[in-house]
Amino acid sequence: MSSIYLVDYYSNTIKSVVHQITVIPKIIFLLFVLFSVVISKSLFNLILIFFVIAFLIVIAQLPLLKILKWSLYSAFFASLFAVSQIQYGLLPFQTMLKAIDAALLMLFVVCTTPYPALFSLFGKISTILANVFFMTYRFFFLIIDEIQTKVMVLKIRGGYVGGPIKTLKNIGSTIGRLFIHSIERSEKLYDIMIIRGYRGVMFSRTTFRFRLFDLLLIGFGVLIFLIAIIL
Amino acid sequence: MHIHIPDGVLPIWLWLTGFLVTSILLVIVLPKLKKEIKKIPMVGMMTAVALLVMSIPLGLPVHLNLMVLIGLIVGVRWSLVVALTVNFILASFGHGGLTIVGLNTLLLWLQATAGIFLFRFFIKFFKNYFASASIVTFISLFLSFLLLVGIVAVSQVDPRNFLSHKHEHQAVETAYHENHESEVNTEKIKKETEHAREEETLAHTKISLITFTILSLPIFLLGAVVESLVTGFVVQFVRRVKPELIIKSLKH
Repeated sequence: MSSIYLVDYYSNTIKSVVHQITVIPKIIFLLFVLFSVVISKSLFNLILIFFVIAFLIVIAQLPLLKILKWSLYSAFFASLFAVSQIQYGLLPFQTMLKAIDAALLMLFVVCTTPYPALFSLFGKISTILANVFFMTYRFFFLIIDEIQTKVMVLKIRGGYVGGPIKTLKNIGSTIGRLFIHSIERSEKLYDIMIIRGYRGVMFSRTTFRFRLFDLLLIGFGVLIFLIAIIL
Repeated sequence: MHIHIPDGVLPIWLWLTGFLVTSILLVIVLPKLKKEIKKIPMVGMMTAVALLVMSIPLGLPVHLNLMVLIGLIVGVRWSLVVALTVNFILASFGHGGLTIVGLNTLLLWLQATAGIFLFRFFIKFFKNYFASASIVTFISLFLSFLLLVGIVAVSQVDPRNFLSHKHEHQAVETAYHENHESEVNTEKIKKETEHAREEETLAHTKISLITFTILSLPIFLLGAVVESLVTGFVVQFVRRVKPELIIKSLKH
């Protein structure tokens, strides 16, 4: 899960053409391509989508191999389903490719769009949801170091030796400490936020802008969708 | 227990139903949560912890979820928000399809809700926090697993639905041409072909479901046992160090 660090880094520091496209066109593109993956019954189409996303990842100056590696995680779980379809020729490959295509697509979007921009969309639905998403994102980076240190301390003190039950007990105590620290920290943060004027609303701005590349990306998505319907 | 089924395998109506049910629950729950803004930072923190805890190495091919524990701390309503947030962020990393977020949210919320109510019930009998939390977590995870298998069963996944229909058309056309001379029998043969195809489809569905269950069960059991024990140990620890956190959940 520490890959979230890298995703955050890629989405905020790289300044490619794709990164400059606003969030709304990216979401429209995502929906068109995701729906194409969902309805696709042709292996050729899925391979085509794979290469299109891979091409966009390269255009966005993202490390293709690393992102491909992350997308393979979904393939592991898709294999459970694929194995049960082993007698149906190419179908297991389709299932695996659907998983990889969808994961690659999501990774492409999150690696080129800062999370606050994505979460700001939730503000249009509910302020509570937007608040929770923003705070989760913020707190994640606050406690990631703490959990890494705790796991390291656990290892150094021999927390992973002495049999599985002992190990789980040690892990349980570590997680218990993490929970208590996190809750105390969140209470302090709430007090600080109240002093600073927090009243349950976090303001964010969603940019509605359609420039050439925004429209091109949407057009690309529509094209993939049409191909998926035809094939 | 998440559904790590990729996008495009479950029928559209099923995952749309997942989103619809989740949306209805959110419409009911969210207005009530507006009165509890004090809990928002804690819920955000719990969601972040849930995401991070999944990355703790256990030395086994499973990861922790801790939704029962989070449910005990944040309560029934907030656990729906936690489940949605966790699943959305996981989906953005390709851990489970984006279209499955609705169904996954329901699964995680079921774990949390069942855990809360069962814990209140079990603690009265056992008087032992470790045993109660462990048993309750296992039962909640088992219920969640049953729902997962139920979802796959309800979807009646026929693998041929995902293949090109060209082969089917060719088969019908071939049968049609072969019997072209006897036009009287054509309708009958077509009906028999359709019937045979339906039976074959059902058989395929059965095979998929059984194979899926057989493959998933060992992973589920391993994960459920580990998670139950860890939840038990965490609840025992929290009970010792900060008992008001657990006691609060029993009073709601």
